[in-house]
Amino acid sequence: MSVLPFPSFLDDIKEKGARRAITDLVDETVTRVTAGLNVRDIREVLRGDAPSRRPNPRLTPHADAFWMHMRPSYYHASVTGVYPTLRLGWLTTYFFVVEIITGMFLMVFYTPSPLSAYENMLNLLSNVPFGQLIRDLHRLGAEGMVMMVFLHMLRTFVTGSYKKPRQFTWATGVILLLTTLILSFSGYLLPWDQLAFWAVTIGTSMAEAAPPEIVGTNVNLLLRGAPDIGAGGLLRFYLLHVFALPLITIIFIGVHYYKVILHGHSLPPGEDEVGTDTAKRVPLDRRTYFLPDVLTNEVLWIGAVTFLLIVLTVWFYHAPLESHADPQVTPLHTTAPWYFLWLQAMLKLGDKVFFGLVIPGLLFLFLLVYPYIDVGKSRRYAHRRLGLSLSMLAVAGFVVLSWMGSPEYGVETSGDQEVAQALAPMEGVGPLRSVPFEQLVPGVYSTAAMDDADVAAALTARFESEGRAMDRFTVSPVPADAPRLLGLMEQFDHLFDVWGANMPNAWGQLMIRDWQPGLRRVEIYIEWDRPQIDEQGEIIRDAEGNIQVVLDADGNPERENSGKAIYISAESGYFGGGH
Amino acid sequence: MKIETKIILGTAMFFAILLMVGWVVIKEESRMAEFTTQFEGRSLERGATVFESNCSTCHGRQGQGSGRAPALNNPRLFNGERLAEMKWAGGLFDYIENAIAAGRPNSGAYWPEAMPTWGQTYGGPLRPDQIQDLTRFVMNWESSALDEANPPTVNQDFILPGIREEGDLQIMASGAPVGTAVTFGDLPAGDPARGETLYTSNELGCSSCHLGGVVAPNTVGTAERAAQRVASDPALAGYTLEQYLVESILQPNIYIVPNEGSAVYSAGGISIMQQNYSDRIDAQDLADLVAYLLGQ
Repeated sequence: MSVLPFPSFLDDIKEKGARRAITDLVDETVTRVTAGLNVRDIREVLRGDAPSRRPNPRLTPHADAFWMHMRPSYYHASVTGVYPTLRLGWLTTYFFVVEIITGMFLMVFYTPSPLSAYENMLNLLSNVPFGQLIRDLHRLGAEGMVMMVFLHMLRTFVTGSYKKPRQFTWATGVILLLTTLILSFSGYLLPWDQLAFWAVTIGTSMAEAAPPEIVGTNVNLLLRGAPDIGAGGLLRFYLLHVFALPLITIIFIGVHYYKVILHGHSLPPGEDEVGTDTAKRVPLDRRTYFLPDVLTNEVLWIGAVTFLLIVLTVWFYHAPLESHADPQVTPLHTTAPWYFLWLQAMLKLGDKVFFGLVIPGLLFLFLLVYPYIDVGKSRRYAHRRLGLSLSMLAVAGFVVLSWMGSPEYGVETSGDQEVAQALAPMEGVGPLRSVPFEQLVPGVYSTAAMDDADVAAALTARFESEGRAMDRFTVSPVPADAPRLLGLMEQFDHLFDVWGANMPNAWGQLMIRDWQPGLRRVEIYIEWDRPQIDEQGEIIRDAEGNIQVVLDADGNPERENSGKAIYISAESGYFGGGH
Repeated sequence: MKIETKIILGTAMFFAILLMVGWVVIKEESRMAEFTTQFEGRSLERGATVFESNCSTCHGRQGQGSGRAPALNNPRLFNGERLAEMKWAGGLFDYIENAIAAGRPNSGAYWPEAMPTWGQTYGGPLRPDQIQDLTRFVMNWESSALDEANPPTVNQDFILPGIREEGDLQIMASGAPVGTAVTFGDLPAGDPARGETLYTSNELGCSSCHLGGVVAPNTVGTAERAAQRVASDPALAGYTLEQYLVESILQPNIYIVPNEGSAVYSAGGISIMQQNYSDRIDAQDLADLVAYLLGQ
């Protein structure tokens, strides 16, 4: 006999024989691990058979196991299709899990210090196997999560699922929307590139605007760790991003999931009688059990979406990395991330405090308590014409505001700068750098004389008469074996149609020179007639709207010019494999 | 969709994911190599821009050098001569990076202006990555600098610190260190002009601290202050000016000028001045230095 207070495995063998004892042991172990399903139950689940014993063993894990208790044991058949949920909430959770997994890998290769953060990014891309894939997945997953949260909320609104008894579920969802946005935004700073630095500088400057001044100043100091973003700010954003915000998000996901189980998934609006909610009273023939149907479905979705994500990150999407953060250099068009463009537009409309803080704050509060304000009983579309119309207006407003937030709207810049920026942007590639190195044939090319040798000669003669150095200004047509350069010059010319409204008789030229082995210097030069400017700084026009130009002593228009030089290396790979 | 179909599809998806990851595995090595090449190319571009705005005024836009700074597109930088001359034990990249980041604070002694410190680490304006960009840009002159068929223009070559012109300065001509037990009576006649050369040379480095009196008592007014001290301080009773100066150079701790305000010349009775000049100069050098200082 065993010395243990219960029969030992050897006792079992003696009693039942080896084979039976082993199968019993396996069965018991499996039942314990799965919190209720034995081997036979699992086989039935996998084969799609009905459960062979009562009570249904497939419900036990939902009661006894932690992870399974967060999922309903069965769903109403009407909510398991693509409509009405569109799987948006599930997808949000999926992306959150992707973020946690990829984020942990990224943390291994990252130190939150301005001295090393950017170098960590380069190391990740140049020296860590799968480094780029994981970083791209993390970034794309973040965009996906933000998008899914938005759409999930929109869907919940449209199907009226926020209504009683799910008001609080909606409120936790609004909080999750906020944490998702801040999570994504706080991750922006971590690569410590120009995009990071300036987007976050703009974002946190809103906090600084919070009235009264003592609050704004101190909130700003708390966030940035100093008056400006630096080592302290980076560390704080890092801790927010990897610790505080995920923790809050996980807690609220827990509450959100709990409420979903408590109230059930709301049925499609047409299925319930107005004012009733039968999501939890599912008739036996309408039940779809989590095991095996919903779980199988979800595993399929995980496979499909993950495959799609990997295909996208391998071939189509790479997380941007601009040049090293530089507090001295403000990029020409700094924009917030797309989901905050609407906020940037609000700031353009007027007072920073009112449009940047008060209105968004009220909007957030309004969303949070909306289910307690809209107490109409019916979830049917036909009964909610006003609410649905207003929500569609809000979506349209969001789109319009986002457009207004982009540099396209309400940003005054000079045309010559825009042309130069369009050809060779401060960040990113642009058409000039995309020309293959061998087609950047050293020489001087003018948009005024692209294929006409006579015009080129006249231009050169003019430069000569003005006493400018010859090697700089011998204009020649674009060589025939450089079609991409010719295309670039045509684009250059076309840019004056777009931006040249205040630059009469404008033309531009490119001067390409060999500078070092494998390195060329390209100078963009733009010239135009100087317009007359009145005291308010406005351009003076005649009755027909033509710009009045400044004339010199001989009655010829005075010319104004501007330029910018960039260097291009043969190895930069902007053309082809570059990103 | 039947559950069997879903299981088959899901399994296919996971195999497809494995295939994709396999594809990444195959391409990863070359992708990382390609990124490194591209990164170095773009680093070169950034370095060129930083060079144009910060360095080209003195070193020349094409690295040809000017009266204010030596040529960098220069065979002597790349053929090892310069490194040997400077007794640099490391590689050329490290040498250039170090010279840019730390600068040459003492080079004002033999150039019109000192090479500034550029690296933030040393109080300059440029970040470490910008210093590396610049270094890559300078290193990229290697093939053109060593191109014998088409040699680069070198308007100004490097100067070996301490020597303005060949044969102008030879410290310790006699080869025998002066030692500490010397009195002024043993010294030969001094040449103030050679004394100044020694004083401002990089080898001895006197002027680095004394010129302008930033770190140590000012060069200007040395003779006057020495005379006052010898006359008024009982500790210096019986000293001649020359003796006082000789002792100050060879044994700085015997008489230390009191600290004045923010100027700290000593700590715990030890002067901050170098204590080894008796081993580095001969009697003639000492006489020349004293002769120069008596005229200040």
